[in-house]
Amino acid sequence: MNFKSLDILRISNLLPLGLKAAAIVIVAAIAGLLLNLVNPRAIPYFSPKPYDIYVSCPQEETAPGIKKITSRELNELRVAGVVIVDSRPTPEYLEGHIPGAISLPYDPLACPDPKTVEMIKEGERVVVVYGSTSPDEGVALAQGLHHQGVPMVAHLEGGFPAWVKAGMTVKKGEK
Amino acid sequence: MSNQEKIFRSINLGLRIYLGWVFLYACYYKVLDPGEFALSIASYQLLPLALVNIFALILAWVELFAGLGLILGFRPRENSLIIIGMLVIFIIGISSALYRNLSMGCGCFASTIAGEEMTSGTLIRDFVWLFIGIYLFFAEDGSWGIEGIFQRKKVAD
Repeated sequence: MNFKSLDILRISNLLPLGLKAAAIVIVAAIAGLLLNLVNPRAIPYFSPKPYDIYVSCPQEETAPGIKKITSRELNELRVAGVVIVDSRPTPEYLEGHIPGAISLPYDPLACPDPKTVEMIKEGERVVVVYGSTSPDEGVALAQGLHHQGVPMVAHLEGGFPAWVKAGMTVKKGEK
Repeated sequence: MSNQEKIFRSINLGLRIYLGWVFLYACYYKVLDPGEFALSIASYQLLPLALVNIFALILAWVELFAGLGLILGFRPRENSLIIIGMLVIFIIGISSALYRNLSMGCGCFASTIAGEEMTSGTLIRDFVWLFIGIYLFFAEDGSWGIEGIFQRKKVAD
């Protein structure tokens, strides 16, 4: 590179360059704004309502690996008193769920219901989350709950299908 | 023209066409589908809502003009300066999104690629392009492009 090209940084050279660049930007801007009128996918110049965008859920800490437990271990913990959370959609919960489980359907676009999360935290008990298997939304919900400050969260390995396969009790109906 | 100068100008031409092509490729979906690009901009949560759509419309066409200008060798320094400015804006936006842990694609290219979340690699990539832009600003005079044709015609006249 020829070091003479550094002369370009002098104001006497930079200013006209800047002005010409600004002129290109202005011409491009006018073209963009005008051609929007003939674009079949035109957008309004001013959006009438806020965009639906992803918003990160509040995080209190980075979650370490969530502990996995088996159906038999969960069955024993039920006696000791744990909070069981069903992350599956509500219709699946109503068709059949682990007795005593709270329904908290996992939504990838929204944070878990804050009131339910607070209620779970106040219980100060171990929380076990389960889902289905393909995909297992229980893993994502367990991590989400932990991120939101629920301290002791575990995940039922294999989800609800594993519970059923192990021959455990299933309850149907209302939450 | 010496061999060294030919090599130097060839490298400049290659970088100019590469960087120009990057921005032409990037603006393609933005020009055709400004709504999706506006959504990407809104996701950064940096601009007030009133400015999002106008910014989307203007930025897409500025990318088009600057990219085309670089490829054709028309006002290469001016277009390099515009590209430098845009990359600085992108780097600020991406850095801000990464700092706030926003889980989103960068919106840089077509939606199928934008679906991939941005990472520090996205930032590094933009810094590489920024350095290319800065290099071209200093080193490229457009002699192997439209600018060179105009200059030679002026001299001949």
